[in-house]
Amino acid sequence: MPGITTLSDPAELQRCVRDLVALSTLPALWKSYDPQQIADSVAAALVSMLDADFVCVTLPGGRDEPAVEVIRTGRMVARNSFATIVPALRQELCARISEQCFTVADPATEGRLRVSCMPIGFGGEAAVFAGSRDPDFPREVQKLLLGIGANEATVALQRWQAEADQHRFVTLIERSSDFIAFADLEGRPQFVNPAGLKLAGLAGMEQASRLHFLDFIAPDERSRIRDEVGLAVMRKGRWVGEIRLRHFETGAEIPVLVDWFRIDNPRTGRPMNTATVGRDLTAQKRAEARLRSLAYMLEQRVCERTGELAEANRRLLGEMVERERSDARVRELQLESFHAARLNAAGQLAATLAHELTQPLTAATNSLNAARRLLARNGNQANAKIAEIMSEASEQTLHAGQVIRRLRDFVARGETEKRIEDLGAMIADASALAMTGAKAIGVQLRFRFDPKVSSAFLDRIQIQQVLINLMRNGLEAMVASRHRELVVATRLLDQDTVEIAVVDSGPGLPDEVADHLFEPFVSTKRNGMGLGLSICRAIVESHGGKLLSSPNPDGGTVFRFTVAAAPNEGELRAG
Amino acid sequence: MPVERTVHVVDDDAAVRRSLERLLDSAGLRWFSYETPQMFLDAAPALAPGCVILDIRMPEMDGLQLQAQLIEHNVPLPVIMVTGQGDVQSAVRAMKAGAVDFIEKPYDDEVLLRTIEAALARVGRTGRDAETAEAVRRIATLTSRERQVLDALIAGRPNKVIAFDLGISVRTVEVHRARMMDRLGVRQLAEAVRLAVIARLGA
Repeated sequence: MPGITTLSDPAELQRCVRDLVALSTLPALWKSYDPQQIADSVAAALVSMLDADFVCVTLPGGRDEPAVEVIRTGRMVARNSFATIVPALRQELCARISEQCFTVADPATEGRLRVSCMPIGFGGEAAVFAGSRDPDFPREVQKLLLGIGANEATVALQRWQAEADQHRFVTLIERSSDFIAFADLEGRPQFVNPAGLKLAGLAGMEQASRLHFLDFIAPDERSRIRDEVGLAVMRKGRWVGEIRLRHFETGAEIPVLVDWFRIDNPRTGRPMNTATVGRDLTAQKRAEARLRSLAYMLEQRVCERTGELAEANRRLLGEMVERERSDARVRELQLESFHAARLNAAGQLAATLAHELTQPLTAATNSLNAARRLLARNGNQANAKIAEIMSEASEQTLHAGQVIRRLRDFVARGETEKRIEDLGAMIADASALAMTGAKAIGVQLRFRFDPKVSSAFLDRIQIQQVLINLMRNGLEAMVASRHRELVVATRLLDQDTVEIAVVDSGPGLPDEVADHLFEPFVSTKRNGMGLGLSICRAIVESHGGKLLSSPNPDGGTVFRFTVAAAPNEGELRAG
Repeated sequence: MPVERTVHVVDDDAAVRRSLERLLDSAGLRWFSYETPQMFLDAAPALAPGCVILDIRMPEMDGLQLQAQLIEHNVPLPVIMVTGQGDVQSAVRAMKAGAVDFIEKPYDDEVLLRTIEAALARVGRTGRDAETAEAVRRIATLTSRERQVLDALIAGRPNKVIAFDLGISVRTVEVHRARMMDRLGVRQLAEAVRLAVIARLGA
């Protein structure tokens, strides 16, 4: 300050010191840091100290502060003389940013005004202007005083600015719903925001400051927090995770997500505090639990619903199966009734046929017997032979009658007339009929009878029909074969069942015929009706047996059917 | 008066009638044959004593109806009913209506002639004591189950129905039926029925 050295007058020096002291005491007045008050008091002090004609203080407005503009005029000047000077000053301030002194037109006298300007702070628009009609203005002392006044205002405003900032931050922290706190390095809480106090169930900061930060934590978590988390914060500077706090009044545990960090001294870089920002997870946990329970319930309901659906499905399936079963039953019944109707028709046909055939058979039998009797009366040898032949003929006509009768009974009513029959005799009789003429074509007939079974329970006439049919088929199959052998075999399958097999040495059955063998109207014979085997099977089945065919391993075909073994006394008693 | 060995034949089937005439001739029996029941009925008041062979199945009037007419007209000739095979029901009805016997077509000449001899032996008499006694004796050899099965067969029931009614298997019915026939010493169901009916009529 070169101007100061020129102050040689003690009175002036004394006045200067007094003014400096006065200026330095100004901040004591600015308790509330009201910009208007600051500007006003600075302007008032400087206008008298500098003996200026006016002092103008302009402060730009902030977000929440209006712009301040204060003009104080000197004692010798009319109060409103400089009311219009501010725009001119501002314009000069912008134009001559580096010059602190300039001259402007005096709006009151049309003369010239000397103006000295000092910026306040570092912003462009805030400044203190002092103006005087004295052409020597400002002198060094006046510049010094103006500078100090501006400086005081600057400091005050900066402090106000800082305090406003701090106030904002503090408000932010205090209003925050998060738990915000910091502690010293020993772990003693230095600040806990209201949300934190409330969360922990504490009355106020005073209570909190007597505690250790570990007291805030659920007992079973303390060792972990101290050993692991505390260490991690100090070493790495930060730890983020979930911890459980303890409510000081209720003892309830509170889940909290915390960001725990170290605050270092910006100057020394050394750890200063640890701080934490935490969020109460209770609501979230509750929501999660609720969500989980909802999800669980949903899952349950999905399960139940799925179960119901599966059940319904099963039921439907059951119904389908049931329906299918009943459909099958209906089809079966239809088939049965169809079969019955057909059988009924066949039965009527058989009855009619039986009657129509019985009449000529009866007549033939009678005629044969009459002729035989007449011949027998004239007892010569030749006649006796003729009588014998006629007797045989009448036996056969009688047999034909029986066959017709049994067939009619069977077709019309499905009845069989079962007796205990000797298997060997029955087969031999059937063979005698079947083999008529067969010996002439060189067919060998063999019997292979199982010694364990000699009799069976069956309708002789019907089973003989089956045997004759099978044997005739076998003979016809072998017509073109070199080796012609027909085997009829019996075998006891179990104590209730006898199998009778007819085996030929023919070429065997083509597959397409074998598959449909027992269906009506399937025949390998040029003139065959294809009814023989279907009737045979029906007869065997009415005996409770089965008729099957299979290829003969030695060539040819095997037909086998089962009939019941002769009943024993025990079976009868059981009935 | 010596018993006339006369047989009256009533059959609408000319071939059967003619063959029967020849058979009766060969057996030395006198016969009169009638084409229709009505012709027989017309001749009935002046009939020679003897037996009657009636075919049960004839047009216009069947054998059973004719038999009823004979009883109504008080023609006391023993009647042999000739039935179709397996027509057990009709045979039973004929027996109950007074026929002395029945015979199934086609029949063996010996069986027919034996039946005719038996019928002729009854001409002028009622009852058939010896035969009835024999039938009763044989029926009595049956077990109660066999008797039940026979009764059901006489009623015309099929084996399946009998099995159901008696609560036994069809196979067991068949076995009882076979044993019943063996005990009665018959080969045909008709013969068993005849015995049973005679025994019952005589009882």
